[in-house]
Amino acid sequence: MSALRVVHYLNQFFGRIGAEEAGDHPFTVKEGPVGPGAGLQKELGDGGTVVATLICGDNRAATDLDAFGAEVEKALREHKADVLVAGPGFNAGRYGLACGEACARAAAMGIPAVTALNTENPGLDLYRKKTYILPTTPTAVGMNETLGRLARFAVRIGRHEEIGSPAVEGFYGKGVHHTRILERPAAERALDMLLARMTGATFQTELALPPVDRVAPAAPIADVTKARLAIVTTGGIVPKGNPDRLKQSNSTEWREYSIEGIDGLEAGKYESIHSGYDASAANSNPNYVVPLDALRELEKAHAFGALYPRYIVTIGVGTAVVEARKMGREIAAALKTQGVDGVILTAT
Amino acid sequence: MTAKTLELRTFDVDRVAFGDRAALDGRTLTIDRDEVATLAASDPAFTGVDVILVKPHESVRIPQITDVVEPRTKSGGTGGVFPGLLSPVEPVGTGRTDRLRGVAVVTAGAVPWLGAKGLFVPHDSVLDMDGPGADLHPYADLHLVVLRFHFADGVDHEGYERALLLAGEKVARALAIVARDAEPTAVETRALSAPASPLPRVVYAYQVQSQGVFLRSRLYGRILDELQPSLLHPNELADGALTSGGLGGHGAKMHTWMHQNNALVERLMAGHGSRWDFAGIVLHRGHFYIYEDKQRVALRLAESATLLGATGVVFTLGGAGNNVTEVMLAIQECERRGIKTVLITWEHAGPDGSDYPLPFAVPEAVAIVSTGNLDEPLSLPAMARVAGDAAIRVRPEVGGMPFPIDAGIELERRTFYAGAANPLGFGRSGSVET
Repeated sequence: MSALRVVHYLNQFFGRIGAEEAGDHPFTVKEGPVGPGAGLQKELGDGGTVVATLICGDNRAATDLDAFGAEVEKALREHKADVLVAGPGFNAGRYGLACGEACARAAAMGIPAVTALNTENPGLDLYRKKTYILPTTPTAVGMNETLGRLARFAVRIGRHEEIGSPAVEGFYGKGVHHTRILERPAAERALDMLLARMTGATFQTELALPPVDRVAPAAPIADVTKARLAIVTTGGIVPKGNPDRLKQSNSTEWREYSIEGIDGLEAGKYESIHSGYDASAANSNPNYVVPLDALRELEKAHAFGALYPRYIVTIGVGTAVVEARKMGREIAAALKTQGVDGVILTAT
Repeated sequence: MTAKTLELRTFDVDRVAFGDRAALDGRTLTIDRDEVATLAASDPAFTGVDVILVKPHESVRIPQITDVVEPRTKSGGTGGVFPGLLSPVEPVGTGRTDRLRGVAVVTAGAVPWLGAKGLFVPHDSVLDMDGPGADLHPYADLHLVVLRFHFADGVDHEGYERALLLAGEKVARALAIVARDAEPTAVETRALSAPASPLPRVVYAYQVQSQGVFLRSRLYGRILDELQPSLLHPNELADGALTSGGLGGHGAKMHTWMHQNNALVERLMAGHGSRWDFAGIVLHRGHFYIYEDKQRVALRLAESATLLGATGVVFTLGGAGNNVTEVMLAIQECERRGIKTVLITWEHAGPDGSDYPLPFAVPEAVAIVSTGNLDEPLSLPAMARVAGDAAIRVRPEVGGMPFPIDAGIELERRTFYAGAANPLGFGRSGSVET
């Protein structure tokens, strides 16, 4: 089998142009391998030849990904690429985006592509559905080992070999799960897996759970007696009758309702539409979930500066993490523009 | 001490028909429709009942299911089936039990909402006996005796719940009693005698859901809303010590039939003494509101498994949501003690399958069997007939909206589909990642 024509993408730093000061370096193509490309070539062996190296400054690429992508496409065509390898991009944010975009463009042209990014790299979630991404270390300490995996993977996709599941093949996968009817009942699969574990045999989990996101708390408010506070709840308290027809679960929306001039939420005028808890206590006294009564007392006692005149509500049950994250960002941004210093978050 | 031993007699049924007297002739079960209707609807909570027969894989859609029960009765030994409900609280799981295999009683009907909203309503579901939906629940191969109830006014949800529970169990017991003098298809002796040679010891951590009148489980008739982890012998399941309850249900509901025939317990018993030593069941509940309560459950589970000498523990989930936390904390505690774990779970991966699949996780949960994504939409073709109302009620948060089911249907999520979560691993559903 003849050697594959491999094109390699690097940023300005690994492409030996310069460090941060060269971040605006324009898209450049060099013949043959550059920098880590030498290691890549060594790992490819007879399987492939690094025919060209594409180099672009991180700022240049990340600020105009469309233009960058167009340059990548042109270079891939000119060099008749069989396969594109990008990076590894480690945990470098802008570099990760460029690696992802370059690979996505290649894949869209029908040219197999692979990159390697650290799990924290924002490029991972943006591009995992469009290209193969292998895991790697946060920094270049794992360069040699990663180049080995990239080279082996590049040869396999370059030869259009069958690629198995992400768990087996060691790439991130699209992270998309489909329900299928398999050969054996789940109970049988589970007991075989348990027996394998108990007897020290190898086993393969059907579901790998990435580490749960941990959010670092914000710095404390310096002087809470001057702070403007807002109430944000996932407890599903809405004006009686649910005027905006919010959904009782799997929420994708949040709303603001005025609390201006009122000292507490009156039973009968507000209700819980949350489908995940017994709403009878909340309906008998909506302040249990939106503690407006207590906060008004504290406000009058000058325990804090002032209460934001609206409360924010969504329904926190069955909500997709991606939707929760989006709503969280929207709410935080909206409150920030209103000069809110702190938030009382109530869950249920 | 002698091991708890149960002689389980199975009577296969491959035909069910109405007739003028209840009988089992060979494999044909004859049912007296009026007798069943009178027995089922005797409670003042009902104004009447339709008794509907459904054949295996018949093109039928069954809506608004509350429970599914396998006909069983005791024909020897102490106690009776469904102890604490139909029978006194006496030891069960010994002596002799008769079961009709291939037929089940289904309690169904539009339970009045009585103005309830949110989680706390009788959730409507559907179940297809044919088409792609038939692969998602364990009932497609069975003859079903569907009891579609009509509900009286002036009764509260507790009244409806108890009436439905007892009706399903009474009819199931009555159907099984006719087998008493017939010839069983199979006779099996079940005990957890210690195996001759040392084998890995397996404990089953069995989580149930019990959160009030709409999502309820019972052990010997006792409601399990405050259950602390409790040891159970598999033979107690065989006699209906653990029953489902609650009004209506969702895709993760475990019906009484599933407890009676628990897919894991059946396999654990089959491999007992040859592949492993089945040490017993620890029954527990999730959905505690306070984190410390979740930790208490996890500690009691791990302590029980340790005392039982477990090498491994297999976990299943009771319900969807924060009950995953109790299980995950228990997995963590077991693994820290060197006890290997496997979890069977469905996923909440969002409609497109790309979301984080569970509400909580620990790094020690490294061995998981997935039964698929409960958030995935489901297209179901029209069935030739609907064994009940032509529409179910959805969107309780806006007071309910009718959702027609007498044509092809597009379910936004599988939570409306009875059995779709495959919570006890009966079905072959799984998850494939791309």
